[in-house]
Amino acid sequence: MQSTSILLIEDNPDHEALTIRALKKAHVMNEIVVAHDGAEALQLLGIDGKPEDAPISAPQLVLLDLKLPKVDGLEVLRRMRENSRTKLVPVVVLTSSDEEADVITSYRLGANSYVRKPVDFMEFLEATRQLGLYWLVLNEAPRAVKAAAGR
Amino acid sequence: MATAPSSPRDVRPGPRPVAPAGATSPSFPDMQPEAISYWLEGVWIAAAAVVVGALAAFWRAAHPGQFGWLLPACLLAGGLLQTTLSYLVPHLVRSRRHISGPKGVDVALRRSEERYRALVLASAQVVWTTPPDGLVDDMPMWRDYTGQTLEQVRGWGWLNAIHPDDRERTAAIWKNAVATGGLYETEYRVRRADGQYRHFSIRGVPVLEDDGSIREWVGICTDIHEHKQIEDELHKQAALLNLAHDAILVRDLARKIVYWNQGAEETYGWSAKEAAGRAVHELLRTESATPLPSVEAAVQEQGEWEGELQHVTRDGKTIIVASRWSLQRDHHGVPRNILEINRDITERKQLEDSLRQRTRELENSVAELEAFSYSVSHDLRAPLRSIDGFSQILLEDYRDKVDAEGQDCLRRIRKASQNMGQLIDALLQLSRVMRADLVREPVNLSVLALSTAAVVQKAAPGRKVQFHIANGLVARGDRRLLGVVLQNLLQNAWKFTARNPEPLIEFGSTQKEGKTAYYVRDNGIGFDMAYVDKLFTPFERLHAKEQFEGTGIGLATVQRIVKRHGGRVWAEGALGKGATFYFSLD
Repeated sequence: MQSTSILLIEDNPDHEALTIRALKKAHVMNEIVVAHDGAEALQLLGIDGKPEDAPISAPQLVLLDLKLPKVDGLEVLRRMRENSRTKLVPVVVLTSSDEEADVITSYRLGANSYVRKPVDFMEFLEATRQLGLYWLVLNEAPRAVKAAAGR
Repeated sequence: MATAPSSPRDVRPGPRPVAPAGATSPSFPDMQPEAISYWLEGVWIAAAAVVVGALAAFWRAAHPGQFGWLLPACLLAGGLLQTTLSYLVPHLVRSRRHISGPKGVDVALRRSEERYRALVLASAQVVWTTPPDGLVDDMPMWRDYTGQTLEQVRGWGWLNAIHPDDRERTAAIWKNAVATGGLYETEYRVRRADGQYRHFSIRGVPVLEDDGSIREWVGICTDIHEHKQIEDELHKQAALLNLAHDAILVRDLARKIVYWNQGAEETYGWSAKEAAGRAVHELLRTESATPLPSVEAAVQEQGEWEGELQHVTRDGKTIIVASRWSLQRDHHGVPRNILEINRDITERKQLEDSLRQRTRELENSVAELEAFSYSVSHDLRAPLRSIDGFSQILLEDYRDKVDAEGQDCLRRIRKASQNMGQLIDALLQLSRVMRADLVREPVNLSVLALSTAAVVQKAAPGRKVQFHIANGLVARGDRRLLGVVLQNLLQNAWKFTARNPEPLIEFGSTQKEGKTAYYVRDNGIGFDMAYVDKLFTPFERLHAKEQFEGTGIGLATVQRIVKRHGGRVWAEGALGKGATFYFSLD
């Protein structure tokens, strides 16, 4: 178990590859764990199934796509916020949708940021760089999250 | 002659005194002095006869044989005296009674007459008789009532006391009754002594001799004036009820129909006659969401009920009625009837149903549209990201393996996918403008324009464009949508001033046809007014794509938004001389 892992929840393998590339280009060194649908994400987070089997019950950052097979992104977010271990983990919604309803619901459920994936890969690179800088370097996480992450 | 009461009220039967006060006792004590006076008369006459008889006897005894003529003379004198006295005494008695006060016979007679007359007026009934030929001899009560004299009433004279409009008919009916010897029955208006015409109901029958011939006619006229007036009033009300298109019906507590207006006839198909007496719920096959017994209980308890009922008409058509029931009580407060007012709302119901269904369909299609937009937004853009992203990877990681031409291809691929991304975004915005709720509030357009200009400027920091934005322009509208309008117009202006070395973009307001119009003006390349209509059509472009970027959807979106605000958008311009886009709101 890595203390500073990033959980990327993304069903599109192209986008998975592009996001990982963008993170690497932005010099993010953290381990990146990928969940390919909502159900897998809930298991990796230890919300569904045994918590002790969960590899990353409390990652340092979650990058969450909304449109996912099985359990959708908003449901994953809701379950994360209900769970004491994942309640305070920063979640950045990273999605193609810029529907107002999605934005509002995400924030209401406790998302920390909402970023729309641009078509232009160069723009996406820039966005990812800023996200990494902000959430992994600048942002001061609550002690509880740090403690959980450091376990 | 009869003195008529001054107002019709006076003839109403009631406890009012009809004779002078103090004379309301039965007639026997009044008659007593009269009996005494007749007795006294007898005594006087008897005494006179005795005196004359005695004198004659005395003279005969005193002068026997001398006065043979005397006895007859005395008898004659006695007779004369008796006659004289019998004439005089009642006069004396009568003159004495005149000074004997209210207990006198005269007063009694007058009272009796008054009482009789009052009775005629109060009972509002006139009894009459005529000979078999129908020609009136006398009708004392009639005379008392009408004030006609004996001469006036005789023969056919009574007819003159009847309302002119009723005379001919009455005469005909009476003639016919007399001719056939049948029942005489009619109604007419009689002129009372005070001149007022009052409605009477008349019935007369012939009284037959043993041989079957008519001995005389007897009959009675009854004052039905008040009844008639009430009846007229009721007729008027019934006529009014019939004017209503609503079905109005009254049924008693046993549910039997007692009133049924024309509206009910029209609604249900049964005539008033056919409906009368029928059990209302059986006739109409009433169905109710609330069980009927509870409805009836509610009416009994609260006095009224309102709801929808289902009825079946005479031709078997099922209809829905909006029904209002109210309990009618008699003047003792005892519930008697239930008044039902039913309005056929079948058509309205059907309209409502179809409207509801159409609304549902619309909601469904809106939901589908939303799902579609969501899918477009998410799923169509996703491949574009892959195309663009992996093209970029090729350009970065395989630069040495792809020659210049290949790299140019990759750049074109990236450009195309980005354009398509913008197109999708613009389409999404257009569709959102269509379905977004319009929230009207005061919006400071000047502030909105300033911030939009800042955003546009920031996207291309290399260009220097002068913005003139008027201060304090406030309009009522949807803040977000008006932001989209300004964003599109300012971006357009920005785009088409690219070749002007001193680009100027203005935002302001002016008066057009009495309305405030806002405008965005630029000194860019302008357009040919011949194509002005194409400006606002989606995907129409007046300029080659190579010259100016754009999706062709921006102005269409502006037009949609302005139209949704009840306003209008139009443009003025000339090639090479800039363009002005105006919009008004509501």
